Amino acid sequence: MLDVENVRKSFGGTVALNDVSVSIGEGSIIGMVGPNGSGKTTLLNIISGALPADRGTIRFDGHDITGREANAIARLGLVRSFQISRPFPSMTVLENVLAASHAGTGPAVRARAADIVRQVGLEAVIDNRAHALSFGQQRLIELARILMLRPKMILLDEPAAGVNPTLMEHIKALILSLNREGTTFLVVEHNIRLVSEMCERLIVLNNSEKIADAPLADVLQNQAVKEAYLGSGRAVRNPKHRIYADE
Amino acid sequence: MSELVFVFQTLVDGLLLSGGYILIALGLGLIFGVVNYVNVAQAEFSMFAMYGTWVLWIALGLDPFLSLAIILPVFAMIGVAFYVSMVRAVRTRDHGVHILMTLGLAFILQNAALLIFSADVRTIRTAYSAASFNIGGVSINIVKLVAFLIAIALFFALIAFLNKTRTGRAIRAVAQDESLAAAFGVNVDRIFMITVAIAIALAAAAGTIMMPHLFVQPMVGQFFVLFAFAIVVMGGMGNLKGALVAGLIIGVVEAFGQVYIGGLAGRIIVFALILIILYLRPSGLFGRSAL
Repeated sequence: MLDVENVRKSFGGTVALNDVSVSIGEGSIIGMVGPNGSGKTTLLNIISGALPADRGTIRFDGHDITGREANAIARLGLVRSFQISRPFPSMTVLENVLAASHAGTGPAVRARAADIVRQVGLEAVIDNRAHALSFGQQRLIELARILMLRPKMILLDEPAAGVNPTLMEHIKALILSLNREGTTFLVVEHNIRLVSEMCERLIVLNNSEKIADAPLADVLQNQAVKEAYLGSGRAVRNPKHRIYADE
Repeated sequence: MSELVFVFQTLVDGLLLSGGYILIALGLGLIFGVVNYVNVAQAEFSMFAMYGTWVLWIALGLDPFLSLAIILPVFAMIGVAFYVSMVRAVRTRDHGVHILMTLGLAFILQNAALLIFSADVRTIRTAYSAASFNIGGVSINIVKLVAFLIAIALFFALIAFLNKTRTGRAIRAVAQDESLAAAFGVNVDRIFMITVAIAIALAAAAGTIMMPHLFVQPMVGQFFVLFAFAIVVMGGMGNLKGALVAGLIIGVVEAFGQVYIGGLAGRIIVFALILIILYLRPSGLFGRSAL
C-alpha cells in the first residue's frame, strides 16, 4: 500500500531524515515511535506532501506520489491527522466535516457527514463552531473529517496526545473498527501502551534514521532501541515516552 | 422641506450611494481574507468596468444594469489573468511587495484608460435616469435604488455561495487554514484563482452599477479605492459582514458630511470617524475574521 524508499530530508545543515525506507502492507496498522526530534513528523509531512523530500521515492497504492501536492495525495486516499488538532475554527462541526467532501453538497453528502459526526460521538455539538469545543472534541472533528474522505490509508500523528483515557479508548475503538473495514494505518504515537494494543509492527526512528522495524516483542529486545530509549541519561525521560517497564 | 425630511433624504441618499463602495470593499476584503494579498488596483478594475458599461451603452445601446451579464463574466476572466500573471508569483511575499506591484498596475491602468478614452468625463443617461418616487417627502431615485439593491443582492449571493456551496466552503477552509485545507484535498491554488476572479468581478459590478448615476474618467478609481480601504479597515480586515455595515455607515456619513460641511471637505468626517473607531476598536467594528 505504501512504500517509502531512501527518503532523505535536511533543513539547512541539520539532517531530519537520513535514507529512511518504510513499507506498509494493505490493511495493517503499523506504529512508529522514536524520541522527540527523531524525524517521525517530518516523515509524515513528506509522505502527505506537506514537505518535499530532498531525495528518495514514495509510492502509494500503485502511484508514484513523490513530490506531489498535498491535495492530490489526499484525493488518492492517503490522509493525515496533525499532532495538534486543527479544525477550521469559524466553521461548525458539520461544516468542518463537509469541508473535506469532494462529492458536492447535496442531501446525501450532508446525511453522510451527519452520520460520521454521530459515529465519532459529536452529534450533540454538530452545529457548534469548532473554536468553542474542547481539545478532545477538536481531535474527534479531525477524525470525522478524515473519514469523510473515505481514505484507503490514514497517517495519525499522535492521536492520543492530550486526550483523556476515556477518549483514548474511544479513538482506539474507532481505529480498530476502521481497520476491520480495510483502512490501513500508520500511527505515530508516544503512548507505547496504545501502540502495543493496536499495532502488529513497530518502526523505530532515532537520530533521523530507522533503527528497528519488527513486531513489538522483537523491537523491545533490539539493542539499538534500548540504547535510543534508555541511553545513559535516564533521569530526563518523560514518563509518557516510556517503552521499557524499568525505564 | 422640513428639517426632519431633509435629514431622512440625506440618510437615504447616503445609503443608496454606499452600494458601489460595498462591492469594491467586498472584493478587496475577499482577496485579503483568503489570498492574503493587498490589491491597491482593485478600483481600477471598477473604472474599466465603468468604461466597459459606457461602451456597451454607446455601441449597442445596452442598458447599463443589463450589461452586468457581460461585464461580470468578462471581468471574472480578467481576474483569472490577474491572478496567474501577478498575484500567484508574489502571494507569499511581504504585503509591501503586493502594494508596490498593484500600485504600478493602477498607474498602468489609469494611463491606459487615458490613452484609450482620453481625460473626458463620460456619463450614461438612460430614459429612467431622472425617475424617482416619493415616500413621505423623501425622494428616492430609481437608478440609485436599483444600484443599491443589486449591490445588496450580490452581497447575500456571495454569503450564500461561501456557506452553501462546495467551492464556497473550500474558500472558507483555505481562508482559515491553507495547509490544512490542502491536506484534506482542496486545490489551494485553484481556490485562490477563483477567489481573485470573484473579487475582480465584484469590483466590476461596482463600476457598472455606479455608472448610471455617476461618471467615469481615468482617475475615478483613486477616490473609490480610498473609500474601499476605509470600509475594509473599519469593518475589520477580511470581515465581509463588517464590510457591509461599514459601507453603509460610510455612505451615510459621507452624505451628511457633504450636506453639512460641503463638497469634498465633507469626506474629512468619514476619515475622522475611521480614526475614532480604530482608536476604540483597533481590529475594526467586527474584528478580523476568517470568513
